[in-house]
Amino acid sequence: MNDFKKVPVRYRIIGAGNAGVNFLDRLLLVQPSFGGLVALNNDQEALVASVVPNQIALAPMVEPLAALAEVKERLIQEMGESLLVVLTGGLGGSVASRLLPEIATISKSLKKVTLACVTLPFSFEGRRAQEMARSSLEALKQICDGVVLLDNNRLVAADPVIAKLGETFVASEEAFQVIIPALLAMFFNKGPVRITRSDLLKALSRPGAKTHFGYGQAVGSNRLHEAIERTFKHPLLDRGRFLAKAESIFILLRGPKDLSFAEAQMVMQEVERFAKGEHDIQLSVQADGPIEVPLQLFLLAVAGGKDSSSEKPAMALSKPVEPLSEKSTPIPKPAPPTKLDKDSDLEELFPKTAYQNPITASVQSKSSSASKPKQTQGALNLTAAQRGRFDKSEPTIVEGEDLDTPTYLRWGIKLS
Amino acid sequence: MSREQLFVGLEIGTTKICVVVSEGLSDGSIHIIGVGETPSRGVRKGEIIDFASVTECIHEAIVDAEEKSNVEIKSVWVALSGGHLQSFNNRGSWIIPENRGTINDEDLRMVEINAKEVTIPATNTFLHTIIQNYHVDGNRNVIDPEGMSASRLEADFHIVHGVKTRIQNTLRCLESLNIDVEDIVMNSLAAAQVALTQQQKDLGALVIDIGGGTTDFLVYIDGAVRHSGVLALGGDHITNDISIGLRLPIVRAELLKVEEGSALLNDAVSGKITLKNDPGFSGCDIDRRALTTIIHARVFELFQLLRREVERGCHLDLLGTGLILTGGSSRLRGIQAIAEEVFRLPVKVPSTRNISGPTSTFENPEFATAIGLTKYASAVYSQLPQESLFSKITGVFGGLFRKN
Repeated sequence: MNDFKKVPVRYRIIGAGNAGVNFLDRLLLVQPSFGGLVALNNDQEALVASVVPNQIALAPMVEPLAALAEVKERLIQEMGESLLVVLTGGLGGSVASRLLPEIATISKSLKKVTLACVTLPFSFEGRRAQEMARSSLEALKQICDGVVLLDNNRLVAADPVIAKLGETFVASEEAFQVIIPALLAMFFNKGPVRITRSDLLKALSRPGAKTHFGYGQAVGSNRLHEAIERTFKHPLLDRGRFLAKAESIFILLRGPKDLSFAEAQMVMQEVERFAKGEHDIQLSVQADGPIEVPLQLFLLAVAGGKDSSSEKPAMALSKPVEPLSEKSTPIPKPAPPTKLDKDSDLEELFPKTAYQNPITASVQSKSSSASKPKQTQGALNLTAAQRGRFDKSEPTIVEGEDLDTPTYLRWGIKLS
Repeated sequence: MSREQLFVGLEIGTTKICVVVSEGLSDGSIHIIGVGETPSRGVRKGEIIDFASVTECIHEAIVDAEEKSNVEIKSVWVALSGGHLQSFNNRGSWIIPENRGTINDEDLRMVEINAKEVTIPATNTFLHTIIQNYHVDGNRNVIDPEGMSASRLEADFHIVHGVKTRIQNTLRCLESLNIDVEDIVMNSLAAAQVALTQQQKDLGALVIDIGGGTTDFLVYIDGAVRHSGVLALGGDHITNDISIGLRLPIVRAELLKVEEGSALLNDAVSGKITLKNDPGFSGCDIDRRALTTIIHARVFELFQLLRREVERGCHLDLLGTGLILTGGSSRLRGIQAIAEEVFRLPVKVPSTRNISGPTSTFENPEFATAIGLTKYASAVYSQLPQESLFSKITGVFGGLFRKN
């Protein structure tokens, strides 16, 4: 997916290990102006081949955690004034598995919102890699404010017999080249319709929660329907089945300037129809691209896990994390999990004066938090326009308009 | 079928399923022997959404046609519609082998294959490759290049493609009834065989087939198909609008549309239409102006969309014949006037030359597609050697229809 909007650099994306650096290279391949990337690796050759401008080379023959301690100051400097730190890499490899939890700890100690976007190893990568990935993932889940997990095995689940090895890795990297910009867009979208970021963080930080995502894009007169179809059929969403299990669904709809109200409405209707049960569904819309860009749809579904609001603040650790190695240089511990800290962090990131989007508020199927202040602003009604007998059929969308809705209604003709 | 020159056309429409049995005559005309029809269930916007219901309806329509024509139906020509159908024009080129130097059948086949070497969505399959004209060594508009000396052959084609699985669904319905499919033909192409004469095709014409769930259009310029398309909008949308706007059940809205509906705002004299009590429906008075306003808005929008679509593929000034309206919804009062207003072209009703049989059938625009199918079949049949017909059809649809 082409990213047509330059996101302000209020974030850092730190890629650790070979896979992490590859992910960053992929991002730059699609959008050369992508900023805020930091590549961290002990493989000098891979760093030389990488196009990421900010690189931190770790000593190659040293144990990764010790090597990280040597460059800790540089890393803190790179994190700078950013609000959000996204850690990425392939769990299972020694560098990413060992370093990402440590980097997350550093990031948290600097009071930054910290997310991890990581892959699990393919099944053929062996038991050791799986175990290393599992322990690293557990640590990340405890430290980070949210973990988005890409299970590589699911990418080939549709047809593992014919899936080519090289293609599976490429598919994994391509998935990240979509996921990371989409997450950033969800966080930093300044458009009129956006996701409540604290809700997103809260969902991602639920202990035991599983994240699933799918994406699709299309152009042409039937672009919305095609994008929806591709998204729902995405293997990472298990052909849409995960939507039914999800408690929280976050939707990002990006498109050209002619993206219409009806299209946003249709996306919500389709997701609600697929999801069936009671869910917290939030929509973020960006419609500022040039006219030729495709319509892009990204779904992030969070299933399972207990609501963290009662147990663990979204922005802080519930318990301190043990360093993975005793040899590592002491790293500042994250701040204790006080309610005050949580609120202050949230306020720093997401000031309460920020515009509360009435559409987002109105389309939430379920209140995500009892403590959430009541919406007092008038809500724009996004309930399904009358489609009558076509309510459950494939919509006829032409030039962004849902033609199944009576013409007189769309044209605002008053019947006597 | 016992007689070789019998053709059966099947249209699986949103409103009704219609089967026409015709006999091809030696002068190229067709004689309608019998028509079977049944209200359609399980079709929405021209596409199958309930396999079992559709199969049952097809069976009923075929049995009806068999009884009326006294012919046992074993194979049919099927009309296809749906918003998934797309089209484009493309040119293929082929170098004639030096050792031969003259164009033969194989060259014509290769230039067609070359024209189809374009990327279409992976889920789609080609439905039609319709020849527009040949170019032989730069000599344009050659009608029949076979046997001509040449070094290079080029050809322009109008190519139609659609979603493979949706086409397969139609085939599977018929497979379950043990009915063979001779060929699948795009709705508008079939309707045009009835609606247009060759002279009208040469002059340039736009055929619009407004059905219950879809509106299909086809543009002929200089005798060749230049543009085609399908809008997933039809008479059902008018009914739906009435149902919502006047708060009526769908069945009553449909009846009101057929009996009292008009697309002309001038007809909208103030007054009431009284709907009588029915079981499950308490009668009420309907404002005639409101009814006309609803219909006019929908019909006007439909033609506006169609005009935009048609203008993407051709210039309206090239349509010397004008516009031919067909399909069940073309019977709506005032619809021709709206079409004239939007397209600024003369609007005509289909000619019924070269067709004989019960006049109630061929003068009814609802049957245009099914009748057109048999006319299309007759034309294909007359151009092909008998023994090659079956192999040609199998070749086209063999990949589409894999038996389990």
